[in-house]
This record gives sequence, C-alpha cells and structure tokens, in this order.
Amino acid sequence: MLASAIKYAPDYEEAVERIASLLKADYIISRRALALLLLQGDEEIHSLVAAAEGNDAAQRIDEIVREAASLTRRPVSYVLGVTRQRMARSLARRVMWQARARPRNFAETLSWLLTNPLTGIPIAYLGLRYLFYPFVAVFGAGVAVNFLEGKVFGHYINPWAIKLVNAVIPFQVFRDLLVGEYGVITLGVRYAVALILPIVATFFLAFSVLEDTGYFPRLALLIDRAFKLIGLNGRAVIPMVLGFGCDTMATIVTRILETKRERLLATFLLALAIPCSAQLGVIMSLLGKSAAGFWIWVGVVSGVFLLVGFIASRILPGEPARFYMDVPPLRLPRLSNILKKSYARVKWYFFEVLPVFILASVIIWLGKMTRLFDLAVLLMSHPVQWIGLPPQASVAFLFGFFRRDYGAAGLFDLQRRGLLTPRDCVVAAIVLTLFIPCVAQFAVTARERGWKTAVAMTAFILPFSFAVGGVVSFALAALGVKL
Amino acid sequence: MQNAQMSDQAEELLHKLWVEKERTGAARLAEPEGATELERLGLAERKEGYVVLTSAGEERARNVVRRHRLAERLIEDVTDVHGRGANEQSCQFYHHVHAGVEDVICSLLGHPRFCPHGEPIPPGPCCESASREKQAGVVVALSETAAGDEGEIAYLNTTDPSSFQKLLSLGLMPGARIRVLQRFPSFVVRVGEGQVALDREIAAQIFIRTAPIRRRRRFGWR
Repeated sequence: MLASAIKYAPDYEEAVERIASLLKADYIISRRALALLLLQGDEEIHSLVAAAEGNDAAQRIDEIVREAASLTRRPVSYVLGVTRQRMARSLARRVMWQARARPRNFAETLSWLLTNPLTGIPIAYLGLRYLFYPFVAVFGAGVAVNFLEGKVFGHYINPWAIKLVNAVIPFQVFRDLLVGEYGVITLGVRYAVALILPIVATFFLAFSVLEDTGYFPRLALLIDRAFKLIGLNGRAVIPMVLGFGCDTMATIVTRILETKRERLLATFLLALAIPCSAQLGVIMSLLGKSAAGFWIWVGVVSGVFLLVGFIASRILPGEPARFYMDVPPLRLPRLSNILKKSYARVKWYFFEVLPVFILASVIIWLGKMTRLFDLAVLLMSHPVQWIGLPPQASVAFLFGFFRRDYGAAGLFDLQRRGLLTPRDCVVAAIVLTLFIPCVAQFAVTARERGWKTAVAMTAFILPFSFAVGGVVSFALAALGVKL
Repeated sequence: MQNAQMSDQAEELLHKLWVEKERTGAARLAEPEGATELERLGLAERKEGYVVLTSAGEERARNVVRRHRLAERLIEDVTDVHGRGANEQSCQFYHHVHAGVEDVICSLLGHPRFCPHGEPIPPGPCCESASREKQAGVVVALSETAAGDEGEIAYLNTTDPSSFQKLLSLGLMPGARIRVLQRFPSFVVRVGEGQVALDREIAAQIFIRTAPIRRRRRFGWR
C-alpha cells in the first residue's frame, strides 16, 4: 500500500479526489490510480473511462484535468513525476549509500578515448580500415567465397545439377533456365549462396560484435552534429552502417528512428547513396587498378549523400529530431549474443532476400526468352551512351536493378574485355552505386514507407544517377583527368 | 521609474495587468480593484470602460512581475520549498523586495529565465551584462556548463510531456546528481551510475544547481 503513501501537492490531490468521486463504474484498478492517469493525459484510460461513465461525466473530468493543467506551464506528468522521484530518493537514501571514490578502470579509459573527438574519430577510421573491412573483405569475400564458389558449387553442386537436369528434363529451354549460362541453379542460386551470403554473413558477424561491445552509441554521439546537417541525428548511424552490409535490412532497421521525417530521409539516403556489401566487393575490384579513380568514386558518392541529404532535409517539413541516447558501459562481447544476433540476421536474409534474388534470375530468363529484356536493354542504352559509356553497359545497369551484384559483375566483365576505359569505370561505378535500389530493397521500401513514396524515390533516383554520371563524365573529360 | 510607494493591492493589480498582457496582448482589465491608486500615480488610465496601463505603468508592472517570479524562484531553488506553501510565501515576500535588490537575487540565482510554473521572468539590466563567470550554487542551463562541472538537476524546462518522459527514462530528473563529462561534439553527462549523450538543444532544457566550481576546461575530461 505504498501507492497511497505518495502525497502530491494539495492542488493535485484535490483534483484527484474530485475525479475519483466521478468514477462510479467498476474498474480493475483503484480509482485513485485512474484519476492520476487521467490527470497525466493517458489516452487509453480516457477512452476507457469515457465509455464506462458516459459523456457527461467525461466532460466534467476533462474540465478538472484542464484546471489542473493550467496551474503551471509544465506538463502535469512532469510535476507528479518530480514528486514521485523525490519520494523514491528519500526512500533509497534510508537504505543505500555510495562510496565517494571511483577509480577509473580500463573500460572507462577506453570509453573516453572513443568518445573524445580527437581520439575517437581516428580510432573509428583505423578500426574500420584495418579491422572491420579486412575481416569482411578478406575472410568473407575472399576465403569463404572462394571455398563456396570454387569447391562447393564448382566441384560438386554445379556439375551434379547439370548432369541431373540434362538427364531428367528434355527441353533445352528449361535446361537453360535451370543450369544454363544464366541458370537459376548454376548462376542464380550459386551467386546468392556462394557469393552474396558469405559476404553479408561476415558483415553481420562483425556488426554484431561491434554492437555487443556497446560501441555504437559512442559513434552516434561523435557524428550527431554531422548527421544533423542532413536532417538526421546520431541514432541513424545504426541503419546507415548496416546499409553497407545490406540496404534492405537497413531500411527495415530505420524503424528505430523516432520521427516519420527521419525515417523517410534515412530510407531515401539508403536507397540513393549507400552501397551494400554485395556491390562494394565488385566495385572495389572494378576500381582496384587506379587509386585516383577509387577516391573520385568515394568523393562523388559522399558528396551526393551530403548534398542531397542537406537539400532534402530543408525541403521536408517537420521538426528536426533531438538526440539523446543512453551510453552503456563498454564490455567484452559475449559469444552467445553475437551468434544469436548474427544467426537471426542471416536467417532473415536467407529466407527473405535470397528468394527474391532467385526470382529475379527467373524474371531475367523470362525477359530474355520473350525478348522483352532486349527491348529494355535497347531503351536503356540511350541514356547510357549520353553519358559516354558503351551501349553494352546498359545490360549491366538493367541487371543492377534486379541484382546489384549482377550489375557490378557485368561492368567488371566489360572492363576485362577492354570495353571500358578507366574513366568509364569510374563513371559506371558511380552510376551503379547511385542507381535505383535493388528489387528486394524496393519491395521493403514500399512496405515500410508506402508504395507512392517508393515509386517517387525511384522516379527521382533513376534520372538523377545518370545525370550525376553524365556530369562526372563530362568533368573528367573536360579537365583531362588521367586515370 | 517612480520611487513612489504603493500599497500591496496596487502592486497586485499591476501584476494582474501584466499577466493579462501576456495572455491577450493588451494590458487592460474591466473594473478591477485598486485602480484609483494607480491612476493617481499615473501608472494607469481609464479608456473605453477599461483600466489600461500607461507606458510608465507597463515598466513598473514589468518590474513587479520580475520581482514576484524571482521571489518564487528564490524560495523554490534555494530553500527547496515547493507547492502551495511556497506560492503563498513568495506572494507576500515579493512586495518587500526593494528596487534594486531583485537584481542581486537574479545574479545569485544565475539569471533564471523561468519561474517554477514555467512563466518567463522579465530580464533585467543585470542579465544583459552577465558574464560567463558563475558562482557556486547558481542555477544554470546544462548547455552553459563546462566539462568537469557537477551539480544537481534543479528543473527541466520542457512543455512537451513526451520530452519529459524521455528525459525521465534516461534518469534526468530534478534531484539527480549530474556531472558533465564532455561538451563536444555532443554533451556527455554522468547521471547516477550511467552515461547519457545529449545534443545542445536538449541540454538547454535541463537546469542544474552547480556544486562548488573546480578548474574548468572547455574540452576536458574529469
């Protein structure tokens, strides 16, 4: 019966009594509790009481609540909350005491190093460059992919599938569908399971480790000011970083952002300028030959990210979101947590995204069969040529909508065949990165933000990506940049 | 400003007229009590059936309200008395605060901008010339503190109930002990046993009563 021992200021106690006397029906919780909730503006309780007591009583209750609210400018929940807090503190003081001295331990020193901008930002960069990225690139993209692609699919699954299909299915057309050059099994499933899955899985693993240590709030507070420029706040760091692993998952994670405006901005920026790990790997290979080309790509994409984000945040109406975040103590990540989180994410990816990609392969096959695909390629080849790229690149971009990695691989292929100059590679890489989101991301965007929004974003991004490519192509040529 | 003494009732009327101006924009009331005294002092006049403040009257009323709300702040913050008792105290107390003394109180309290009810305190000449040097025991916005400062949260200046809930969930409540760890690029404070990161806008809504000062550095760690 501690609850009745909390006495609020007399004005409010009076209001509580007056409201309680108007409550005639039977309720599960005490009248006093109901009255307090009504005073603090609880809408659910208000509906409940209005239904039980009738409109007349509800209006009189509203009048009392309004009167109490006019006593101060601060919300009533604040005033009552302060009273409760004071009571709680006086209770705690009777049974608790705190030692004065707190020696600084390693975790706190490390925490300070991470949150102080002079040390925190270099550490973040170095960690990314020499820990995070190599783990994903070398282990994921290198070792795991080679093993799965080369050994598992190359030596076992593909040949076996080809043999089986050739034996069982009589029609060449369907043989092609399953095990041909763009076959569902030989290419679709193989790419999805042997190429994308290991890269994304290692990314999720590394992300979970970082997440479990409690590092992200610290990163968030370092970049909050920068993110404010694009209408977001530090909290958005989580979906943005996740976007470098898989944009589709990141779009879902934008749910953690508080306001609709932030969610919209974050989704838009994810769709426009954040390259997922699937394409990152191939784009790195595409630009691997020239460091200058790589940095131009980085510069243009980040520039677009900041500029478009800045403009969009100015155009979209609404209040900027406030940044406040609990900063938990740093701790060693727990293996069970990491495995659980990674497993959940990989499982989601395997069952939600991969089937879409395999379906995309089927659609491409159908498109090729009905020549619709070739028509689309023809249409696409015009803007492609306007920005100075060879017409063959249009296939890569069309693929890029269905599967980003297909698109990047297509460009890589063209480069190998000598059809893309180094300058072309940079332009093509930029356009592909900025290009409309892959079909999986588009579907999730439509689900999370609504179809109209998703279509509107796509309608903007499509011409915009080519326009930027065109400008870069022109600028590189005009400035005579040698790559 | 006239130095004429006036009755408490007259001062209360000045107060009412100022509040009316805050509410509706016009400092006028119909048939209030004590109007004759104000008219005699040239602080109010009758117009179209209303009693309206003259410009001299407005200045005087502003000072009255300033003294009243500072008195409320003084009683609540320094003596830590709250509620109806505090209201009654300050309602009687402010009449006895002589001209000029309210500026001393204002400086002592760190030039607060709001009374305990959230009403704005009209600033005085001392507020404009206030330097960054603040004395211990002064109430100041978190955004104005330096790294290393510590104290106790005095009040939260928020009118939005959900903001208050968020701050509460982080442990930022009146009475909580707080210590500023860094200001840039975001505010990081220690509250209780945990740490919380905030941006400047939210820090500006949290007012703390500072403990005795130590050496202060803008980007330091303590």
